[in-house]
Amino acid sequence: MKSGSLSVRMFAKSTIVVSIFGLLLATGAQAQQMTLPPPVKIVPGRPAPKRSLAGIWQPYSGFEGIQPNGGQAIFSDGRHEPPYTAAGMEAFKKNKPSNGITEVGPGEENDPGHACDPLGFPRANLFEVRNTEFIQTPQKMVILYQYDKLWRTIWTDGRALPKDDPEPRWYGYSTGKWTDDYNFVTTTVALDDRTWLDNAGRPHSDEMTVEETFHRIDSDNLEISVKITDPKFYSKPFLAMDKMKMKRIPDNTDSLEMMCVPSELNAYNQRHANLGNKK
Amino acid sequence: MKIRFATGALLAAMALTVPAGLMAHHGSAIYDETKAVVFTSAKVTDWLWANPHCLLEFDVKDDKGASVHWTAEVSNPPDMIARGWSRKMFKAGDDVKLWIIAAKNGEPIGRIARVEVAGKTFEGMGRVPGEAPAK
Repeated sequence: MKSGSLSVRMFAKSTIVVSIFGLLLATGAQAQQMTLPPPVKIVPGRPAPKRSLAGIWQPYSGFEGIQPNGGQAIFSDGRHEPPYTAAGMEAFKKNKPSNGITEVGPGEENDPGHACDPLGFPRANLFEVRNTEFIQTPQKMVILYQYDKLWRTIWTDGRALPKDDPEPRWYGYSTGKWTDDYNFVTTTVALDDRTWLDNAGRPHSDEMTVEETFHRIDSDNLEISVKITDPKFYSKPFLAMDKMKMKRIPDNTDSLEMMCVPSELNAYNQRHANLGNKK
Repeated sequence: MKIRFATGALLAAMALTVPAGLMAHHGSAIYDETKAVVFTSAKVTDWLWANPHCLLEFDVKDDKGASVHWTAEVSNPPDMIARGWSRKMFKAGDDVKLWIIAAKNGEPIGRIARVEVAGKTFEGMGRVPGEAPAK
């Protein structure tokens, strides 16, 4: 029996049901919590505006967006591992994730995100993609992420990427350009190698370059792809996210906070998680 | 590369009971996903509405009548709000009925699959093992 494909199909089916159910409940629950202006209606089927990502977007599927067991295109099921080099595999073995095929118990894991370290980039795309807003100015594209309430700046003013061993950053240094009216492509370098690629503990080196492609299908649909190039840890470039679909949601959507808070994390570990690791 | 692919079977089993969005932060390897422990009368002592997971603390009586303190988790506040939960849904002293996916190691911790409080039923994190999925 092809248990791998069966489990993936089961995941997909259960996720669709849960996502629809969750969204229906979410609408009602949020409405009960506070008085909000009525949502601005999205009229589907319109053509995409040229050279614009402006608006708030949400993954079609909760499973695809949250990516609990690894990036959307490198789902950790034993059949989608990226092409590690020897150094990459050595780094992967040092990571002890609490999700994916090498998962360990809560007290044994060393996921930096679970210590409330910044998730960094591209993990911001490869884990917990929820509501995502794009704001465009003549100089830059700003991406606002609901999870961790953070933003990234993508410079579009024609500047070059930094060279000569730039200072590493959790979210790197990004530039972007429109390759045509409906495809916006970013390049990000100077990424801090303390971060993981995803929830399954895939590593990256300080030589990584990340390319994102945002393809505006029409007024209400967007696809995101993420390509990793890291010759130190991976023998060839690979897609960690492959055309993940996002849908437009109303511009007056009020996104709930979802942040890693050290004091709350400590409480969780002390009251609960640490007990689960007792032999 | 040799990775223990057998873990895939565990993931498949988890897929049957835990919605993907609810496994976001921490895995479920510590839990016995095959059954739910049902506490018909649990006394709430604390309700932590927090990330990465909300925690309900409660006391139950064991077979000998002794009080045992438990802690059980659900997902984060945004996910639980989407399921109708709220930060004020429990208070210390509440008597609740719980369906718990308990830890394999016997420690009094678990994951809440369902709770009844104040006459209302709320689905928790994943579904109760053995039950058909909601239609």
